[in-house]
Amino acid sequence: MTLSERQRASLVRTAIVVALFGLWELLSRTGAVNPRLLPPASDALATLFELLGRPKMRADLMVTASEVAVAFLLAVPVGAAIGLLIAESRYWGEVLRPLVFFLFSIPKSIFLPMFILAFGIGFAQKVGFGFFSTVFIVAMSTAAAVESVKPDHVTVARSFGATRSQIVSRIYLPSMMPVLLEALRIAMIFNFTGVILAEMYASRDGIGHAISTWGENFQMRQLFAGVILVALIAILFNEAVRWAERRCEHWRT
Amino acid sequence: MRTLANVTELRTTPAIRLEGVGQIYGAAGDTVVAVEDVSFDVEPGKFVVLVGPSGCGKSSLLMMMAGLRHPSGGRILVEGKPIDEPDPDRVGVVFQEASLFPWLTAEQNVEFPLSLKRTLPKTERLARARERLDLVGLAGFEARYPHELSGGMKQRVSIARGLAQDPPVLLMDEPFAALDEQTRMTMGDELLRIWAETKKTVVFVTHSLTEAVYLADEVMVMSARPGRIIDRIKVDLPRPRTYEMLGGEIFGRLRDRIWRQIRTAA
Ligand SMILES: Nc1ncnc2c1ncn2[C@@H]1O[C@H](COP(=O)(O)OP(=O)(O)OP(=O)(O)O)[C@@H](O)[C@H]1O
Ligand SMILES: [Mg+2]
Repeated sequence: MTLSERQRASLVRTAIVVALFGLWELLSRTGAVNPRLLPPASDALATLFELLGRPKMRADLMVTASEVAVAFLLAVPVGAAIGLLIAESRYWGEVLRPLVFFLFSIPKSIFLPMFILAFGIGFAQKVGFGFFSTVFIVAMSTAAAVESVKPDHVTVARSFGATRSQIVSRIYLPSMMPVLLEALRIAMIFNFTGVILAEMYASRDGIGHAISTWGENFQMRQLFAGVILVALIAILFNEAVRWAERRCEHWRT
Repeated sequence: MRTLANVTELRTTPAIRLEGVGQIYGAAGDTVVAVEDVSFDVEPGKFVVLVGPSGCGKSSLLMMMAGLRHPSGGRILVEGKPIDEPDPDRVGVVFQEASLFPWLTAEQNVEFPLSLKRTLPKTERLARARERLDLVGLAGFEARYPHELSGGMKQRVSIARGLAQDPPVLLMDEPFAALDEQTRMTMGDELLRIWAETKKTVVFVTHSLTEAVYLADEVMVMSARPGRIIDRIKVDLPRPRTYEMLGGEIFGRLRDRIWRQIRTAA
């Protein structure tokens, strides 16, 4: 049986991941690295499963998930509205575009203390910071998505008597879809990062808070388990959207 | 007597009538007169080709005939009635480049115009789309996406889409400009076949003088901006047109005349 290039690549890729985990296991088991600093991979994975069984951990996960969801659901429509305004109105485009770019370029973490001052420590502070981390990238990507709509396609639709709302739903939406999906995926990375960061900085609950506590208390097995968990969640979401993206890749012209 | 007069009048209603049509772009102070005082009639079933130097207003004129732009002056009648907005039941448009929607299959692209109105049930719309694809020689390619089709095939789909609502008038803006010469020749023959089968009135814009003479009943030559019609040349070559005519004396004479007109106009 011969493997296609893609199958071979994915085989090698899997091998690399397995090898890295193996190396990790080996370094720790042999004592080449102090196991108290680097617990074996198998221990970290076992801890992960054990943690997932704990109600406290589940509660933390729920807290983080709801913060991420609320921040995302707020940031996407607000960002999209700003992006639409920038792309569709010449005047507002001129006014807002540089502002969005300025804000986007600033490292958002320097604003963390201000969010605590404004919202206290809790749900609103973390959602607020997640929103703030996400909204600018959504605005910029939406503007790019609107600009990716070909005027020719709009003219064609008009020539066939399409109404304004038909042009939006039948031309704008599908034209924007590839760019929008990519935008959503990247926005989620920003959003998740923002919420975790806010949790690690100052919080009483959430997975980010748990990870930062484990780090401070030198609970390395839990710390590594937490890192693996967050990485897995992020990768899973990312891959799910990428799968959808690939399905409409050829729409880009 | 009156009924008789009406009948003759009906018969002579031109498919397209332009009366002193002009197009001015831009705002006060910074205006471009793209088209100036263009008047002509196109009789039903005729194949008219529009040529002229680049930027002389050919596309502008077509956009106005399609109802996609309002003339700055004059008026346009299609089938005897003014055209104020796009009316796909009267006018179908085939655009310059591959303007197909890449997210739809060939069949869905052709069905698109029909789906906007929803007067027909979906199965009937798709049947009609397949019929049109068959007409342009693309039976069997219904499920292909545009990126899976060659340039010539894409333009066939565009033509099928322009014919979807069976309009009496078909406007074509340099539909074959992006094709290689061989494909272009084939597509010219195909278009003439489709035109003969469907008996449409066609207004066709091109930069190729050979293509113009080969296809046309009549070639209209436009001047450089502001675009006006400076010559109308009847092509009295018999149909069906054949490849051999290209080297003939009549063909050469017609082409030379058009070329001289364009050169003095530019
Ligand atoms: N939307 C517009 N706004 C301003 N000027 C325009 C617009 N559309 C066309 N023009 C100008 O009007 C003139 C005629 O343009 P048009 O596209 O009709 O020419 P054309 O004969 O089709 O040219 P080509 O042979 O290059 O396709 C050109 O000078 C062009 O720059
Ligand atoms: Mg043009």
